[in-house]
Amino acid sequence: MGLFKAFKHTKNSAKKGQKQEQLVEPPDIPTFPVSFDMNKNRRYIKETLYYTEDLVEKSLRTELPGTCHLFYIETMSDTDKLNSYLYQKLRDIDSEVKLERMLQDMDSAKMVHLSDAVSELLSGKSILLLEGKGHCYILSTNSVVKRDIGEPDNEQVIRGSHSGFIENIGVNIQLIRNLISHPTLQVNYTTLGELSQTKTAMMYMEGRADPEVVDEIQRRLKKIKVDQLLNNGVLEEYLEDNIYSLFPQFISTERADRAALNLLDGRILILTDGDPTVLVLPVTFFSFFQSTDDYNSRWAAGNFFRLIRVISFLLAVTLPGIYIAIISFHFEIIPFGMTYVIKDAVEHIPYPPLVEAMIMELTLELIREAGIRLPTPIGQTIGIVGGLVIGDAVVNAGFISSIMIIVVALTAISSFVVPVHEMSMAMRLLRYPIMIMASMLGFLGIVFCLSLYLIHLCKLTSIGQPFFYPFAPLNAKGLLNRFIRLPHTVYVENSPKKKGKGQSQKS
Amino acid sequence: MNVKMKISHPQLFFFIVQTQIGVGILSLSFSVHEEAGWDGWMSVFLGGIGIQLIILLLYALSSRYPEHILFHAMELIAGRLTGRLITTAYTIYFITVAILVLVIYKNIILTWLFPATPGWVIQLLLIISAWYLSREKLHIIVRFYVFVSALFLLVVGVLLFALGDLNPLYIFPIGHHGIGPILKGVMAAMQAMLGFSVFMFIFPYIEYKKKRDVLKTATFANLFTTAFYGITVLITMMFFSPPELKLVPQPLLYMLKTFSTPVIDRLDLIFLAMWIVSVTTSLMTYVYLASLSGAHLLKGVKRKKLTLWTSGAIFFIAMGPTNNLTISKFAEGVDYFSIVMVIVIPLLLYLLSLIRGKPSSKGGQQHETTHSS
Repeated sequence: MGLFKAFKHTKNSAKKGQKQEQLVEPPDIPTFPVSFDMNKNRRYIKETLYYTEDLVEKSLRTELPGTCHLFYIETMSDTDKLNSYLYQKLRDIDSEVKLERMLQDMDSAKMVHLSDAVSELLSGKSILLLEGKGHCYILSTNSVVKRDIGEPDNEQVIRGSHSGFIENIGVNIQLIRNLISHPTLQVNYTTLGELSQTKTAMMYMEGRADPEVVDEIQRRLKKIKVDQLLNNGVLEEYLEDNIYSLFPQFISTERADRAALNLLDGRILILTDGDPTVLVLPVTFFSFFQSTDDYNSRWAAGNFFRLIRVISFLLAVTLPGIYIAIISFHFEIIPFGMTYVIKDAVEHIPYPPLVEAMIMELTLELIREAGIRLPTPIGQTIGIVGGLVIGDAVVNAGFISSIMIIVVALTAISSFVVPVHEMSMAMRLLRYPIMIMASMLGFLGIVFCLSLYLIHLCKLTSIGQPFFYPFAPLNAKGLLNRFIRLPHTVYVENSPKKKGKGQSQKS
Repeated sequence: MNVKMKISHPQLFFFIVQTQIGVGILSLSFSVHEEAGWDGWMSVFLGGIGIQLIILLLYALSSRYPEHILFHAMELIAGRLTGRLITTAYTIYFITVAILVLVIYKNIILTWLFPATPGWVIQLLLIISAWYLSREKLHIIVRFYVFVSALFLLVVGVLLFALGDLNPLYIFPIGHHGIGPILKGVMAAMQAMLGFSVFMFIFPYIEYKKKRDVLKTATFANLFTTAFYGITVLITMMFFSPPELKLVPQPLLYMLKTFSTPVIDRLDLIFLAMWIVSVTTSLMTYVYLASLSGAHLLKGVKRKKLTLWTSGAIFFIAMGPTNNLTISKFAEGVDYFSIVMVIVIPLLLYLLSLIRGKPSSKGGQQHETTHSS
């Protein structure tokens, strides 16, 4: 058996190694200096790109001796640009100095290694090869496809900026820089993904962001080894402190103003090319309950809404559990006046409360899951079928008590209140252990579950920073700054530098 | 030792208070009433004063060796073998107290909430959450303690509810029972106040500017607990008449049971369920301390691993005592054991260290403190 195992193991690892090698190979172009022989160069370019059919080669003639060869990928380049800049200008070139100057005026770069030039070619630039020269030129002729800047659908606000991020990293950085034009705003680029070669940027404000955290993120980014990195979700899991936690440890946002506000708060953004969501880190538990609306509306109202959101979290997590606990164990706590009302509703239900609640909760999740990806007109049908038909019929049929319907509806509504989607997903999952424990041990089970969650929150960190911050470790000033939304004119002294010091004392 | 891992004074305060306040408060008035009648509240306050004296002693002992955890200091004071024996005794002591807490609360829950549920289920709940937190480092444990201290407001709320129905005449004449029973009451009150000594075991993990600040914090914690208990006992004694009080083993819960609101009836059930958090904090402390001292004894064993073993041991031993008589005998035994462990041994150690003179603070021994926290 052991032998077999060993054999299997080696076989496995061999296979793995092979596969990895295969995956790594294509982007790993061996260096190839520009050869004086034009034909060699041409063959090299074509062979590295495996004679792809959208590679275009053009030979251009100038007054100078020898032909120039221009390579570009048709689908990635802007032919208008080539036309107006290159072809027209090339016509009146008669000396090498002029050619050089012209290329300098255009956005071009000189390259000695053709292998480097090829990887630039893949990002939409074109290569200009000159006969009998040991170098080539890279012309930036890339055409950029981008969507218009619009308001993100899942993070709408009533008052405030309506611009959201798009799939282009350059535009996204521009949006943020438009909001914060301060020299301390820094951008660090990294390329991640062996195959996809995705550009990611880390943005932070020097002096505001905790340098320890910046270093830590850089260290973690360096450690990432993935083949493809097409969205932030992958990055998130690589950066997280605890991937087994149900709680999201970073916020992802599509709103430029929200990202900018977080930057000013000393947080760090991670942008990925091709993904309109931006990761904000490190965050605390209560950042998930804040919306930019809070800062735009009147402060009393802002506080009220925040409170509502926190209450909604508690409701969404515990309400079905409380129902189950009361119906199955603690009937005594229903006050006298309500006893008969509840008794009438519950008495003839054939199922135990847990099954009843599970059926309804799962139905609700089904409706929600079905509704998310459907086009709006069909989505409405789902709403009617799910809400009216199932909700009403199930009570009339006597399977589920009407109180259960109220409870489920309330939990559903409360789980939509939280402004960040990831947290509401966590809320949906956190509910089930509580329901099960409540059916076994009533209130005791609920409290047990909640205290486990709380312990977990106390343990959890986001890039080494305590996740449950203003509450655990408790910090009164932090509470005023983070949890309560004070009027903007009131300022509580808690600058990042001091905060760092305070944290080391408190934590 | 990393500065970040150290705990601040407010955190120390709540660490002590949360360890002290737990299951004891539910039956405190009953147990002091048994000994000292309606003068029981005086016992509580006297107990507070007595404890303050003990705190002074413990502080004097532990502040002589501020860089070492006490278990290591013992070896320095009393020699290697004796020190290890004492540490073993402390480990057993912590485990015993944890078992007592577990058994008592299990019994209360069984009588009040779930008469048909097997006791081990409730024990398992309590011990799992205790294990889950106590395996973490101290600075994380105290974060949780500080947060759940909000639960004390529940008790305050209960007491406020009762304010309308008080009859001050129940505690008159003051001092009727004489000094003897009141002192006996002090013993009963001490049982609920155990845990004031925790600061001496975690001395090197406390961040302080002056050593004296630790004493101050411990004093404040004692002041708080004494006042908290004293007021609770006073109010329950004015709420129930003396003959009534003889019949109610958990006066606080019975008091709560009489209140009714239009939205929720039987507040006692909700209170009891929520109070398990405060009880588990006491349990957590003892599991933590037991694993801390255990890790000191067994070199090379990680404290984190040891919490699992101690929790398991506590869980299984706690299944033993089920009838009330055994439990009260057990509780009595723990009382005497506590007196030995928090008064007699520290006193002896202190005297011994005085005789031996100033401790030589060797840098080479320093690593002892860092390997487990």
